[in-house]
Amino acid sequence: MSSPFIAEPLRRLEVSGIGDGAAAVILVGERLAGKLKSPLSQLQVASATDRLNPFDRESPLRFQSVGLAVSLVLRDARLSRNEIGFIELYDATSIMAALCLESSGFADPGKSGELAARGELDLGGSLPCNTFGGLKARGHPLGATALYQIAEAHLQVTDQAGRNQVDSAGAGLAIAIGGVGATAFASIVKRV
Amino acid sequence: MRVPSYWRNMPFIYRLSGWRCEHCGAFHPVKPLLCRRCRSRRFSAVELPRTGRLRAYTILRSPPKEFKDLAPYAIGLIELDDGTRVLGQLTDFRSEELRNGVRVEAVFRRIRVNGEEGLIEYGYKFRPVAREASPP
Repeated sequence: MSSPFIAEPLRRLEVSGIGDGAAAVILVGERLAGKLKSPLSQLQVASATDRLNPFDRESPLRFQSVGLAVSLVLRDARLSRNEIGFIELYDATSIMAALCLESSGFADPGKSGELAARGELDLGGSLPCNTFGGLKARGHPLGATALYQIAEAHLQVTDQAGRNQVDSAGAGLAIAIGGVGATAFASIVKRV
Repeated sequence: MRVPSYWRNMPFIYRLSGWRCEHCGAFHPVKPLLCRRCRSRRFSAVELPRTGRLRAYTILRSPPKEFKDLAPYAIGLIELDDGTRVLGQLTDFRSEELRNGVRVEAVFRRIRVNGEEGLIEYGYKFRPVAREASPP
């Protein structure tokens, strides 16, 4: 918290570094799925949009696109919020992680900091978040980031996450954001 | 900014004039087909008040390329006297004046010299309301 300001109150270490990176996800249909030996998971995706400029919205402190995309993907996957074992948040900046969690209905407005301080979002907490470090600690290769999140969620639900493994990782939610919430993609990766 | 969009935005960025929805009161800098809040199609031309209060601000230290020369500079969320909220660069501020709630007024300033299209863009910035010359 003593790193220099980028734009007050955000400091350099609260903003994810942009770097190179690559991720790959192989999608297969049900016909091929039975023939593969690699561990499989099931993917469900939904998206939503909002106005480009956060100050044109009714509230700049809520990503409506995230809320809508998460509700849609939960409906499509027939899951409720308490069946989500872990979340990959889009923490391009520290505040975006908080708004992302609150907008998606997993924390009350303004309360995500308290959850984090109580350890609820840690590996052993009730809702582990960004178990591989998220955009800030793992890195933010822009377009590859959203795919990274899905790949990491796949590792979790197939018990391949090693030291970062969460217990009871039946289904995970990955949230990817474009702009300052102008677009949002919510993906559920589920154990099969 | 491209020339056509700059021209389209001129009434707003030069004079703070735009369109207010007659149904829900939402303000639009450029006349839209439908109100972004309530989908109404009825608008009346308005000129926003040029004074208001600073509600929030930030200081940008790694700005986009075309604003490099200005860095560090402040951007504020201004609540104008009629309640409309607009974003704008802050100018002529002393660091001790920079706090939320301070009275500001819109002034006409050069915003940027655009590299690629060579456009010199003008528009509003906000400065603190006349600090020394308070009328007797």
